[in-house]
Amino acid sequence: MHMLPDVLPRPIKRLAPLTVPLGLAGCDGGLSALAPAGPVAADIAWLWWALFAGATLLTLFVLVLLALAFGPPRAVSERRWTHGLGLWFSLGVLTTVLGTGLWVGERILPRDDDAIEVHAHAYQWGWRFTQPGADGPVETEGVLHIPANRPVDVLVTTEDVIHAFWVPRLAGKIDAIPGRTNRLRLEADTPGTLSGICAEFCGIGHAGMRFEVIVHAGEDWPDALPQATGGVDE
Amino acid sequence: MTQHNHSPAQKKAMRKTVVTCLGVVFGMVGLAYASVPLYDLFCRVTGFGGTPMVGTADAGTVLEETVRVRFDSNVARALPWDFRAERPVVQTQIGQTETVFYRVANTAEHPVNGMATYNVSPENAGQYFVKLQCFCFEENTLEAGEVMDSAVVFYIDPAIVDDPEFESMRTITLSYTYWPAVGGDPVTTSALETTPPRR
Amino acid sequence: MASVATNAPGHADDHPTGWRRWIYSTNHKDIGTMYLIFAFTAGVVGGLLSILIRMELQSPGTNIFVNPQMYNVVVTGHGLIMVFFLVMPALIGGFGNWFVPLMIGAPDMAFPRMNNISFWLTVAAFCLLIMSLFVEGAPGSLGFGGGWTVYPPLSTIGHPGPALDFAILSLHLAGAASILGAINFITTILNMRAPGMTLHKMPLFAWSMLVTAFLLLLALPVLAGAITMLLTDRNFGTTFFDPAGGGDPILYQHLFWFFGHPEVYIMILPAFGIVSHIISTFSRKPIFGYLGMAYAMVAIGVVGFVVWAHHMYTVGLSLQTQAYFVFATMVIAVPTGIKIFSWIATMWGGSIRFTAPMYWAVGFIFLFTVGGVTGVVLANAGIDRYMHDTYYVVAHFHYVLSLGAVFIIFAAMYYWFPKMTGYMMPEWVGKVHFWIAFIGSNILFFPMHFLGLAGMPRRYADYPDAFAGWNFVASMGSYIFAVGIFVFLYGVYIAFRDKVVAADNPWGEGATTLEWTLSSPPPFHQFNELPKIADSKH
Repeated sequence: MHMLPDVLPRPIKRLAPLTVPLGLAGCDGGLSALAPAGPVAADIAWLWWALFAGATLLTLFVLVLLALAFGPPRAVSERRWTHGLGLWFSLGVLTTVLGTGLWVGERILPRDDDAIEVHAHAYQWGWRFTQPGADGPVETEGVLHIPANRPVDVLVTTEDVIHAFWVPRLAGKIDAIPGRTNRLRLEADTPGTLSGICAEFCGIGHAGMRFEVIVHAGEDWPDALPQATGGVDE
Repeated sequence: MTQHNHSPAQKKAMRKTVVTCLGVVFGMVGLAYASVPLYDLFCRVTGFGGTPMVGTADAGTVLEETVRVRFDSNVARALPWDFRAERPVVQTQIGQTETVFYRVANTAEHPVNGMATYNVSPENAGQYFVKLQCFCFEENTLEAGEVMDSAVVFYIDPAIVDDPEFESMRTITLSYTYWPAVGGDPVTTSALETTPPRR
Repeated sequence: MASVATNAPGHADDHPTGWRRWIYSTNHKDIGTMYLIFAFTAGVVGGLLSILIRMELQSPGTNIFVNPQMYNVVVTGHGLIMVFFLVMPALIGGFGNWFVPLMIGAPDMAFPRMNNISFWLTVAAFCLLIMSLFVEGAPGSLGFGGGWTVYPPLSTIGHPGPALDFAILSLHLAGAASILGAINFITTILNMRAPGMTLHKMPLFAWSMLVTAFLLLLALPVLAGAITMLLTDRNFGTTFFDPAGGGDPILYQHLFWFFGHPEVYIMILPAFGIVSHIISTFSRKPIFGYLGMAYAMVAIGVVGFVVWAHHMYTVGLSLQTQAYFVFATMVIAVPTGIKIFSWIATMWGGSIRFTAPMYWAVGFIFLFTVGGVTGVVLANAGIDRYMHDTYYVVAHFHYVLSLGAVFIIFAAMYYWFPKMTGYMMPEWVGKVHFWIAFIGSNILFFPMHFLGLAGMPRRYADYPDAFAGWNFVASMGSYIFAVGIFVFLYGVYIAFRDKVVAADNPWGEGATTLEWTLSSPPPFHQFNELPKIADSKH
């Protein structure tokens, strides 16, 4: 790789973000699930780091066992290897993982706490949002407005093929499925602008099917919403 | 001279194996097709996928506790209809029978066929959402400019309060979507037609 | 049994030559060879498509494709070809046909003519799939570009052209071929084992093929049903998956993944069997925990049928449903753990010879472990709803399939090459190839974990600049990996040029399965005198 700059000067510049530890480029924001901007996303990010640590230890453990195999023949007992390591060790690890996962899953369940309801309607290839304004619903194109520090239920629908609603810094994805309405709970910590994308392949315009989430400070809500139902153009 | 000479006993055993295997194959194909009605039945019985229950009588008991029920309406792109619930949300006592009207209007200059589908979210609230009357899976034809009111009569099953996930079902959304009826006008929403985003 | 032995010499004259030997072949070794050559050819086509993908993704912007639709056609083609025309034909049709009869002491497969039909159906299926790339799919563009999962409604209203119909018929043919092959394997293994070879003395590769054949038998008909419904939805006005007619697109996903998840094990179980033999041979020890190994594969096969919806966490499943599928998915990791630890225990107990096939097998254990633990992470519904359809998933399944199954295809090539051809391939070829492939594939796929975490979705022909760095690295890795193929081809060339004759058993005392008792290559018709299995070596 050290010879590359001479041959390929242009692309090598793009390698600059590699200096970011672990290559988590985009941690500053963007689409990284590991840069949470809300409580649900923070819980999931925590779960990820816990599992990542466990997965790394497990891989290293197997690697060490594998390396130690290159020695003189040793006596191996079925009790230790098949039952001890294969069965009980695996079961122990998995029970821990399962328990942690369920615990986090329970934590991020939506509760009834005066959530506001917005509507995300997907089509090829864009998003139309409806949010409750001061006087009646406000429809916007490609931009979703939500208040900070208040749970938001997003009702996700589609009018053609399957799409998926995903704001990586706020929550996991939920599919928009013809004939159904799916619900996703979001909550944002601080005012700002976040990126969202369509996460289920939906045809030629899939990669361009992005949207913005504008998080307003609680006291500005809902006055900060664009008033005309025409909203913002994409 | 490509088959081997197997003993009669072996031949019999092989035939048995093959017949069993073929049985499994045809059985699985059958199961795949059977899954269509079975899936439908399964959804209706268990409320899986947010399929509401169908009831015939009132709940009998009405609890003090309330849940919020939202009414959501959608229209597929190919259908020139306007479709809204009369009230977007009701706070209802669990077990109380409620009636909510939806109004649908054909904004086109010609008659159009439509059909409604529905579901309930969160998904596991489907088993507690009991409908006594609705307008789903019926084909409707609206003349140009015609307006139609349809009623949904339902109650929330009091058993919901015993569900361990009850807290996550304090708000239930009933969602209707009108589709162009397949038997009627051809569905012309070819996905790759470069339809510009509306508005 | 005696009748088999006395009648068998009649076969010896039955040895067609020239093109007849191959086109009309009913000989399991010839058919196996044809499957391997076919799989290699299909693999080169699928590999070329993947190089096109990596060239497109090497830098942001539109690079080599005119539009994203074309890119997605190539991605779809790559997926279908690698699954149905590389991994399955190589492991099941190729090595399965070659070595299952040899290992269980059978003269041939149970139904040799059906075997021939299976092979040519697979070839026809491949031709149909290639043709589908050149007929209209989405309006104004060629080929089907909706992903190998073919989800409706994108595959119905999104691709009105006939391309997907070709692809569906191709899958029908490939599926029929695999079902016939599965029946053949099951009948052979259950009825034609040499006297004394009970199921519990049967080599693990034969075990793995038996389990795989049952998975094929149970899973493929469901795929066939699902894509037939799709076909009639597209062409004959049915509404199985169309909500406007009372259908449900999610039903397709349930049916597809009921097939799709066992399919993953169909691709990896034969590899598990082969790894066991290679590890055992070069550790000069019988495989550790034989029975546990065999029944771990059975357990993986059984549990593999009840975990499918972990591919569907984002469709809006209720929490209880998600929790069940998380649990069931984790259960699968237990038998897999037993297998990994048993392989390592075999190595602990033996004295290891580090030959080329052993390089690949040990590399496989390491890489499969990486793919396995990323899989356990993904099994968590909460995390999966972030990682679903991102490059993290792409990295995960390439670690288990590209670095898992494909590594073992090469391991098996280097392991059985002397037996199949009668010539030795120089040791350095397999080792050089291994290091190129190991380094190349890790450079190719490891960064994809980072891309996924940073939020890069699959099936993007173009991407934001933030993802450019690791995409560039991954592309370089794919070119390195490709170089390895030429090393392999060169190895085959010098083996046939130098004609260094291989002994019956070139690997020595560790190689105890029956194929090593025959000449290299084995006679056209083997086991005229059926072998008797006495001791319990595996």
